[in-house]
Amino acid sequence: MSKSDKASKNQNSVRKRNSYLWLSWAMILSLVIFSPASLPLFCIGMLPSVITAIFDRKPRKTALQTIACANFCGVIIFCVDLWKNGNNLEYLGTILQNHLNWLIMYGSALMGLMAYIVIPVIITLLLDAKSSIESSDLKRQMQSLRDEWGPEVADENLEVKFMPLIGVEK
Amino acid sequence: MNQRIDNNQSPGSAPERWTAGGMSAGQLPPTALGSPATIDNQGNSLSNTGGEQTGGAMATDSERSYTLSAGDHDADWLAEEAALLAQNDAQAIEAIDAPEIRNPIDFVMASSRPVVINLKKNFRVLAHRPLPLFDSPSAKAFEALHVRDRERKYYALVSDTQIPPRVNMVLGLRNSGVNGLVCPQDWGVIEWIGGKPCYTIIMEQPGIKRLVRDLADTFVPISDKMVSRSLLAPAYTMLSELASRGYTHRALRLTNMFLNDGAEASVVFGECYSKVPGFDQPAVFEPIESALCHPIARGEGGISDDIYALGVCLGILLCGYNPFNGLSAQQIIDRKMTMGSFNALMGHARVSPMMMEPLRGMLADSHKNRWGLRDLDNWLNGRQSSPHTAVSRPKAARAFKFLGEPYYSLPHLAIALGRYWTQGVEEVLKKPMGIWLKRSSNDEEKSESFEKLIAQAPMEDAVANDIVLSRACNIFYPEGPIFFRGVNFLPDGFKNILFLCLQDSSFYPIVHDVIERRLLSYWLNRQSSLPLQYINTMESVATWKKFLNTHGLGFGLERCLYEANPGMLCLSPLVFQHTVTDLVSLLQTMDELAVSQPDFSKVILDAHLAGFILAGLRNTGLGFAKMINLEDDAQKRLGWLGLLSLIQQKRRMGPLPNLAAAIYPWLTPILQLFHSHSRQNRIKEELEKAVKNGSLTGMMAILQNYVDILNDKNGFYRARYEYHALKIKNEEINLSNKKKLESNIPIGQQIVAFVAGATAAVFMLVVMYREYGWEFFL
Repeated sequence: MSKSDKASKNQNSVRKRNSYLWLSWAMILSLVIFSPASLPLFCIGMLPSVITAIFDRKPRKTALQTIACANFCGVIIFCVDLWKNGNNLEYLGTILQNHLNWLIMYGSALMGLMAYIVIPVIITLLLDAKSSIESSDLKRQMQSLRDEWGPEVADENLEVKFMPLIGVEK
Repeated sequence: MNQRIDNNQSPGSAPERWTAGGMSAGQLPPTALGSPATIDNQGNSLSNTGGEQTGGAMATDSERSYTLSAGDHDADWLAEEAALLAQNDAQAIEAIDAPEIRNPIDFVMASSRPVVINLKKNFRVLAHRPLPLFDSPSAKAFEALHVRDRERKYYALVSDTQIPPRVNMVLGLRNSGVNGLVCPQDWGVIEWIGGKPCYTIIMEQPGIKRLVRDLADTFVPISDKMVSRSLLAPAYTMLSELASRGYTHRALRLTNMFLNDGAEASVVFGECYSKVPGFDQPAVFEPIESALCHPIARGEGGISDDIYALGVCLGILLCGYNPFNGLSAQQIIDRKMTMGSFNALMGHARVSPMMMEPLRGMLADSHKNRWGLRDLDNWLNGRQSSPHTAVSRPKAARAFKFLGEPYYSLPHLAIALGRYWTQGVEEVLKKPMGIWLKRSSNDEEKSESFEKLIAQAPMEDAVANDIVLSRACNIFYPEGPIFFRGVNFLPDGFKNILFLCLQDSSFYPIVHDVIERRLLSYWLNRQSSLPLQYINTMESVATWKKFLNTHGLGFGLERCLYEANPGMLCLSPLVFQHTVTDLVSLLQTMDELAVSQPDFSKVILDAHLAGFILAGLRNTGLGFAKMINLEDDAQKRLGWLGLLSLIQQKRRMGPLPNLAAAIYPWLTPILQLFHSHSRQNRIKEELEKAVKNGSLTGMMAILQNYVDILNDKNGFYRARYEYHALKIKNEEINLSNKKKLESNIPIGQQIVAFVAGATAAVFMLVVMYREYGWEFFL
């Protein structure tokens, strides 16, 4: 790959990141303009995602994606509830005064974190179990060959002597 | 290497041999042909069969013979030679080494208490009852009994095992007698008191006394008629019968003739089986070339050698004494060489003209001129025989001096060179000998041959020099034996030197060099007429060379030994005491041993056994011969089984269940050469069946089933390929699993992130739909 190709790829990714950034800023601005009560709820509810965004140093940001999505699910129901009930700061206070709502918002983020940690491990264990079954089957076949032909069948470098064919003279 | 070995010594100590009959000299009259004889003890201090020892009568005999022989022919020359001989006698005696073959039968002592030793099923040897009357120089006689036939009197001739008996002759004459000859009844190897094995031959007692007890004795000369009727006629009959069966006697001497106690005195000729041909013969009874040989290497010889010995017996009986009495073997040979055998023996005896003819004929030194059986028959029947005239040896114009002694005749010089080997080697390489040959020997052909020999001689090492001298001796004396490093031998006697090699390794270089440097072929090529017994020798030597140069079991010295001596006893410790002489009896003996020896399967099959089997199988079994020399134990065992099975197959032998059963445990390493366990088990079952049938051939056929062998080999390689394919696959799985463990988690995390994103989107849509319905989407 030439240097110019690498440079153009980096430029593309920077452009992509900038477009996401602009999109986020546009969403926040629209929320501030059209729904001034939703912004504080959103900021408070999505706090675990913000913390994840700070600590997730992986290039693909999969932790952030998983936790943010789960966290968003937990926050969106209260946003809709807020929008339906006048979208004002009074109702926001009502929502925030209920501890269960906090648990739901942050619990959903925790669920996302749990899924992010546990599910890949479960998948790996399943795949490993499948490989083990295959391997033991192969080992069984090898053992049967050793039983029939002796241990020397296993040693490729071992010089094996066979019954010489002399030919009985007549 | 220049070792000297005295060829002319005779085994056994003379006084012990010939006074063993319990009669000391002067006590009882020695008898000749039944005639009453008076003792005429000349006061010789030593008694000896062949005059191997010096005695007081020597000087008198010498003088007498020289004087009388001078009148016969070429008087001046004989007188000159006689004078030289008389001068050199003392020196010549000093030159003889001490005998190297010690008396080998010292250990055969009679037991002081009754001891009976079984010889096979039928005979019992009474070890406490010696019969000195029938002793041989190299064997002692003991009374023997037949388990059923108690009326006939037998005796057992017991000898050591260093030098074998004439097995072929014993087996050939065992069931059919020869008129006038002591015939063998049975033979075998017995364990003598003290545990030493001994060859034993059972014979019927031939008479009541020896014809001549001691060659040192004198007796009244016997009449011509009596000699003719009682000695020559039975000798002719006996020799004719032997010749018709392809044998020679080679032990005709006066002390080996017996008189029976019948009404008419007739001679019974004594045994000739206990040792190799001519071994016990004193030099006086042997033709010159044979007397020059090592006693073991005189060879089978021919009937003409027996005729010569008979002539000597006749001469001594007509003289009434042994003219060679008190002379050493070397002196006897020198005298015969100088004067001719007839003149040396009969020079000063008064013999009737009638007896001159047979004496001259029988004592001719040349094989060509010597009488044969037909001549003897003609003479006995009063017919005219072809006249024989003594041929004098050509004499050089000027003497050649070797070690200070002058030599006028080439054969005489050859004998001297062969006798003093070290000095001979030095002398033959010097120029003066060639010059003398050219100028004085009067023999152009020999001179040219010698010149050619010296010109072609590599002169590189001691061995090459020894070969040059041996060939030079052969050129000088073509009728003589082969001279080599002090061991002289005739071609058909060379094979017996192999026995000496087994006991004394110093003989091995001699055998090796003689074969390697083709001395036998050289000798045979120089013969003007080749005696019958040497015709096969040429072919045999090439084979021996091949075997000698191949090392390992079934080759080498042992193989040469059995190839050279067909029908010889197998000397393997395993079967030695069972007198195995052929392959059939070998397997039968092994079958018996398998029962009697519980650990038979552990016995070591040795070089003698391998040599014996391969010599018996001739050109077959070469594949097995190679196998028994492999380092791999299993293949070695397979080779042995192959050889044994080949004998059973070739000789069409019946079942050998004991041997097969004993061999079966042996086969475990062989079975392991089959790698398939299921095949191994099947073959094991098949082998067990063959063992029950006693079929070594069947066992070998099962092990050598080519379908099984090929399937096993191919199957093994296929299995190995499969195994490694599976192994690689397994390794791949394990490796990918490990890799997956490392790469699966990020993938899982991506999946989870994707699923979480999708779930969040769907969740938001569901919430929106529930709160706002389809209007939210429109």
